[in-house]
Amino acid sequence: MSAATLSKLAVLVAWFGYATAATTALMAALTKKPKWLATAFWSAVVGVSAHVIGLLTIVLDNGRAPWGTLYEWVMSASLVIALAALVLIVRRQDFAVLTSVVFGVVVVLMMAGASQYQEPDALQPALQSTWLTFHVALAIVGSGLLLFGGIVSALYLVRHRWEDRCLASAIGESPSAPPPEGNPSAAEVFVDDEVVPLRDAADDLGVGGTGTATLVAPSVKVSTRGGTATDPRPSTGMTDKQVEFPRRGLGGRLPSSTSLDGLARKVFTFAFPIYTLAIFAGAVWGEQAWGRYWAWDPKETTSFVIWGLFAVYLHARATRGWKGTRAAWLGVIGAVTVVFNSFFVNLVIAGLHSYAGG
Amino acid sequence: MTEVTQRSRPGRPRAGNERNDQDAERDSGLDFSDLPPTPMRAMQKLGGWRALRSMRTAIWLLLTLVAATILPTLIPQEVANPRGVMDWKEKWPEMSGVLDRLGLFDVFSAPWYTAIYVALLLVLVLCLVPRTRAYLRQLRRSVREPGSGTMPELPHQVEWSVALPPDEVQKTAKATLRRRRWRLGRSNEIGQRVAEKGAWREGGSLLFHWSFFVLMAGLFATAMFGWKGYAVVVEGERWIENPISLVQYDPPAFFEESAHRGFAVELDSFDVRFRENGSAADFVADVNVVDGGERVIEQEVRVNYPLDYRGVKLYLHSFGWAARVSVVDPVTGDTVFDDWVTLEPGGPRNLHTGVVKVPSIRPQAGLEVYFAPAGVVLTREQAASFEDELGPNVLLAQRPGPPTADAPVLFFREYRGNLGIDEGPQPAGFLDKARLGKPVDVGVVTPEGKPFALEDGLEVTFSELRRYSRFQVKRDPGLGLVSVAAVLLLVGLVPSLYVSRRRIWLWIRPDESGSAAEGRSVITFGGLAFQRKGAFSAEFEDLERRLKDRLAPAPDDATEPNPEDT
Repeated sequence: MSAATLSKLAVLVAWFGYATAATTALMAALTKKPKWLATAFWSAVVGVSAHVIGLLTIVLDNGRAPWGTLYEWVMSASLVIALAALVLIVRRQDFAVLTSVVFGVVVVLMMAGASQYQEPDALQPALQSTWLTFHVALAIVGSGLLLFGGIVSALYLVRHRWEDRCLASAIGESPSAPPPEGNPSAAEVFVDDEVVPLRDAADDLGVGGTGTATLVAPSVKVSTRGGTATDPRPSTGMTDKQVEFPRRGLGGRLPSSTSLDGLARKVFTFAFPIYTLAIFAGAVWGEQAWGRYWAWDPKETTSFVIWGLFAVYLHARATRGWKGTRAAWLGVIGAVTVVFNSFFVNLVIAGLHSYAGG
Repeated sequence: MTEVTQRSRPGRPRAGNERNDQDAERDSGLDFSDLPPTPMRAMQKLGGWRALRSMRTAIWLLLTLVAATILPTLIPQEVANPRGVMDWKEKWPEMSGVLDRLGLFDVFSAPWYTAIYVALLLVLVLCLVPRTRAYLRQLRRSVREPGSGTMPELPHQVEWSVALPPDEVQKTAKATLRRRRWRLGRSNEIGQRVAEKGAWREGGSLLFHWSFFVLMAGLFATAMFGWKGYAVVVEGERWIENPISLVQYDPPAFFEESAHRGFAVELDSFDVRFRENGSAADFVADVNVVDGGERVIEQEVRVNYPLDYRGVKLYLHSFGWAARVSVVDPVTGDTVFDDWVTLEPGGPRNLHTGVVKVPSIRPQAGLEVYFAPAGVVLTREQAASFEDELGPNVLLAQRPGPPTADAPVLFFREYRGNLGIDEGPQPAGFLDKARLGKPVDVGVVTPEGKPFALEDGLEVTFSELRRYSRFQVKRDPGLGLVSVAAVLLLVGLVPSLYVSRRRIWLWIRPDESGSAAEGRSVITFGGLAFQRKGAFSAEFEDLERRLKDRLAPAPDDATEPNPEDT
């Protein structure tokens, strides 16, 4: 059996491992039985091991890093995502839905990568550089993690909407506070004498907990937009609320928005410096190989866009009115741009990074 | 927490905001019970809502910049992809006209794009100046003693008493905290003291943001004093570093006369190794630099390994074949052309193409040259079977196989008429066929063969074949600043994301609870972290344990504890 065949076989095993992990994690979410979660975990372990073998074979056979072709690049990036999922979320029951979605994305990504398969070959002279190896390795880790964070952000948005709806109906049922008209964010609360939208207050107080389904808001005073501006504390409508989140549907099975948000923050904060370093390493290589560190090549342009989006994300997290939903949208858009940068820019647009004919 | 009560609404600037804030600044922050201001609070205090609004403005501006930057990935750019731009203009002339007027074919030098990032940098300065001032003040302030007050309400707080007088305890606590690298404040008259750690969070953030201005300075220096272009050097020949000999020269905006060094570059030899599939495995240019009549550098220039001499860098860009061609006019016996003709790969039928211009005879002559390093001369019938844009009178094809020059053949078509080079500069490889009309003759020459006599009498000789190498040449005086900016940016970024800012409060006072309390002290120890609160619990407990260990009486000699002990 040739090395290339062995590699393909190992990647196939990895693919099946991830597909099983995605399915069993979904079962774990639906049934809440620990055996499904254990199966998902071990499938992921098998998948990641086979994946490592598959890429290692390419390394040993060709004497170079596994990102000479688009196929290899995508396989390396999916390994990063799978590894991040294995370390961070697979063993947690409350993250079972997230696990399922992440491995689902990995499965799709690997299929897309496999459609671009090319026999491994030695690298052309310009690609024989330490800085380039450094650049691509960091870009793979950075892109994989950003994509992972984007999935978490997308699920945050789902959960957030669902929590809003629960809150809205809970406020509606409350006898002391009149129901807000239309959307739930119309409800306003007072925190430290500041009028803020209800969701922001909930985010500030860190309510929602990790995986718990109870929103305890003891110091949150609920009112509606009806209150006058000069006296923002109406005499009625001040009540402590305790909202039970039912564990039903997709929203109910997801981790609380607070813990999803925390996970996304952790992943993005970790990935951002890596991605920055990847861009810099690429610039150093560009300076050596092409005589310019930055030339607005399509890939460079798109990575600048991604970098900018996540820079905004990090700032948005610290800004009232931006944290929460808007920041999560930025994370999702950023992750979509990462996918665009990996496939579309490489295959459709000609440039120095193009695998298709550069 | 008191600052928050002054609530002014966005869009309505408060009169006398500045002065009030500065007063508040002087009064607060030194009180023992005060919590340190977070960067956001500090901004509110200093610039009121204006600063907060600039942060939002900055977010919007950065988003606008990002959105504007997406456009060049979808629309071809003049700089990176001129052919793509031409295609668009042909396919959609009307829409392209609009795009052109909006500068969308050259976004990065469009005035509106510049306007966005200049606005962003402006907002950044407005944000950074008060933040930096606040930060520097904070650094100074934390070493001053706090005003007396009560202990603030803290997430971590413990109290215990020890059998040591307060000043002994102060000394030991000071040494312990200093060893753990806490920035200590002086204690006030009732034994209260604060210490801080993690100033690098805000410091790193400031460094990160300021580094963009260093970056801009570097880019500015490049645009003002840097230049770039290409140098084409044939093996065994010499190239002089000056504006005239540069192809596609992009001059500096200022001080062009002092930007060039005038040294010579000789290409000793150029070697290429090929793989079996015909792709290049490696190329090496053996280069000498001659400056002031002396050979100063001998170096191999390869891809990824440029030559760097006196701030001028030469990068191996590409390579090809150069044919020595001479043209003799038999009427006068003069050699009217004798030079290297560079032959660009990528022509039709895998042929290399070049141009010979003979402007000194009347009518002027131009040769359109096709070259095959391993060529096969075809019969007219064979040539006719190729139905390409060359027509049936190209009698040359490149043999398949590795691109070595084992049978070099040069085919050319002759044009006579006005070359048009008197009307303005022309690119070297360009022949104005629209002006010249149809070719008048064709010919084939090989290095071994005789001169080819054309019907109008001109004799063409192909005497030698060598390789040429094309170098990208540039001088970039801003590169150093750009590199410094990149390093500063990273050095600032990491702590700004990972360091957590935390403060501890220490209150050491005499224990007056009983008559047996002679020489005893009560210690209140509290702490607060603004980020990574989970990790701080462990740190706080560790610090508490260390303090208790140091302050516990030694087992054999309870009266003489050693505060310097680690």
